[in-house]
Amino acid sequence: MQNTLSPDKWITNYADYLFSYAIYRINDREQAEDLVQETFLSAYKSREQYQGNANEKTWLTSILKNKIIDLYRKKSRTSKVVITESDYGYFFNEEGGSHWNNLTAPKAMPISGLESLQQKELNQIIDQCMELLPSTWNQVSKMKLIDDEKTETICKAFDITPSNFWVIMHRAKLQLRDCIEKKSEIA
Amino acid sequence: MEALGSKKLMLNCKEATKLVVIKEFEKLSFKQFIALKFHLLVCKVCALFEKQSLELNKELKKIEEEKTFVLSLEKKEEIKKLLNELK
Repeated sequence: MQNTLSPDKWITNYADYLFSYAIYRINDREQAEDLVQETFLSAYKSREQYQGNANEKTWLTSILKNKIIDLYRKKSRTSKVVITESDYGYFFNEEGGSHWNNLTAPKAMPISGLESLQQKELNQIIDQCMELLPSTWNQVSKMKLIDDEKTETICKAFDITPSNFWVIMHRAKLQLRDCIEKKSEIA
Repeated sequence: MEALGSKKLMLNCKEATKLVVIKEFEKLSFKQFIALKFHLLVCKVCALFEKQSLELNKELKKIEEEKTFVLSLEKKEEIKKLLNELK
C-alpha cells in the first residue's frame, strides 16, 4: 500500500510525538522545539521527494533524527568528547587485579517484571539515573540502547573511535546500574 | 577492545563486564567468547551484572515509549503559520 502525506494534519498528529522524541534525546526544551519546527518545515519543502514507502510518521521521524545527529555533530566539533580509561576505581579495585570493589559490586535487585505500580516507581528511578549520566554518555547510550543505531553512525556523530564508544557504553552501564541500586535502596 | 584477552584466557571483572556490554550488540571473537563464558561461570557477581544489564535495556525502551511531552500551543500555532507561508 502506498502511503500519502497530509501536511494539514501534521501538527495535530505528530507535533507532540516529535517533540517528545527530540526532548528525550537532547534534553533541551528550546532546542527540541526548534528541531520540531525545522523538521516540519523541511519535510514540507521536500514533500515531493516522499516515496510513500515509509508511513508519514516514520518519514517525519527520520528527518528529525538526522537533525538530532547534525546537532550532536556540531556540538562534538566545538567540545571534543574526552574519554579516559581511568576512574574505574569506584567500581573495580585496580590494584587488586580489577575485580569488583565490595561496596559497589552488583547486588540482586528487581529491574523488570514487577507489579505495575512498583514498576512505575522503579522506572522513574531508572529514568532519573539515566539523566544523571554525563550528557554525552546519556546521548550515546540512548542512541545505542533505545534507537539500536549502528556503532559507526554513533561514532561519526560524536567524533569518537569505536574503542572510546565501548568505554562510554561500559562506564554508562556501570554507573546507571549502580545509581538504580542505590536509589532503590533508599526508596 | 584490543586490550582484552588477546593472550590470556582469564579476565578480570572490569574486562568481563566490558565484554558483557559489547556482547549485547556485537559478536565477540571466539577467544573473547570463551573467556567470558568461563568468567561468568565462576563469577556470580559478573553473571548478575549481565542479567541486570539485559533487563535494563528492555526497560529503557519501555520507558522511552511511555515518556510524553506536549509541545506548547504557541509553538504549534507558530509552526502552522510558518507552514502556511510556504504554501
